[in-house]
Amino acid sequence: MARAIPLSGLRSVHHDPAFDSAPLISNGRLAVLILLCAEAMLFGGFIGAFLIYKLSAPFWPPPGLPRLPIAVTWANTMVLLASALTMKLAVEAARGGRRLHLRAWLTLTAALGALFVSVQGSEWVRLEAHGLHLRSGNYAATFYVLIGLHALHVVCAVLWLLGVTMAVVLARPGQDRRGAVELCAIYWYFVCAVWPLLFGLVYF
Amino acid sequence: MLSKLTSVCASGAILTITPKLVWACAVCGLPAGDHAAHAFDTSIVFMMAVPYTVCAVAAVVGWCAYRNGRRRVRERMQKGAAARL
Repeated sequence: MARAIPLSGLRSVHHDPAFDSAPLISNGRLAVLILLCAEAMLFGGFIGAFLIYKLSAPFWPPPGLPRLPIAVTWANTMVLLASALTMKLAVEAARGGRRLHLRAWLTLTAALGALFVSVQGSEWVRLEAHGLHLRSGNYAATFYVLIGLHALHVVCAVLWLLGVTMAVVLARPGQDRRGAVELCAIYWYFVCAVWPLLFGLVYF
Repeated sequence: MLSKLTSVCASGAILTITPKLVWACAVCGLPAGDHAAHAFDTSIVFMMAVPYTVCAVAAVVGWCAYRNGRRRVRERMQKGAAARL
């Protein structure tokens, strides 16, 4: 027989502890999802501006400017997509309680992310040396701003991931860091998902 | 039968008036060589689509999380009931 609803609050319809609940979507996940909505709008705005410049130009890329390194960037794209895979494996290791695997996959993911940013940075240095400067025109400006914005997000994701990795390494045996890993993974997937869109729009 | 007839008539009416609605659109029917106008048109359409896409993805993610959460609550309740028995 169901008991009366306690007047102290609506914590439980049947006064059953099993029904007392954490929120259906955790606060951390909700926060990250709201962050990602804002980031999507940010990228959307910049991509919209880029589309205007690209589609209104009679020639794109403009003649006389260095061409972008497509082959190296293809390889770099594979590196970033591989990092999404290793992050997925890290999340599965966290859910399965396999701490050694978790540390290994997190470290590998961070290394791949750092490699991606390093290669992008080295390509930027080469482009600058060949004469593609921020002030070279709309082509260079939109390239550096869009790709730089994404690189900044990757750097932040790598730093976040390093923090989570440290938390996992320093966790005591009973401590569960699964939530932190999953939140970082959501942001990592977003950063990896945005890159193919930017690559296709900017480099081709 | 009546609802099918209504659907057919509504579809026919929409197909009939749609070309007239398209002619009224400010960005349809741009001249072929007008790159700037086409560029703005594409960008506007893209910028209009982005918020809807973001909301749709957020809604799907939220719905999946809600469904998983309800399933977890149901499992907890069943475990609690089994423990009491």
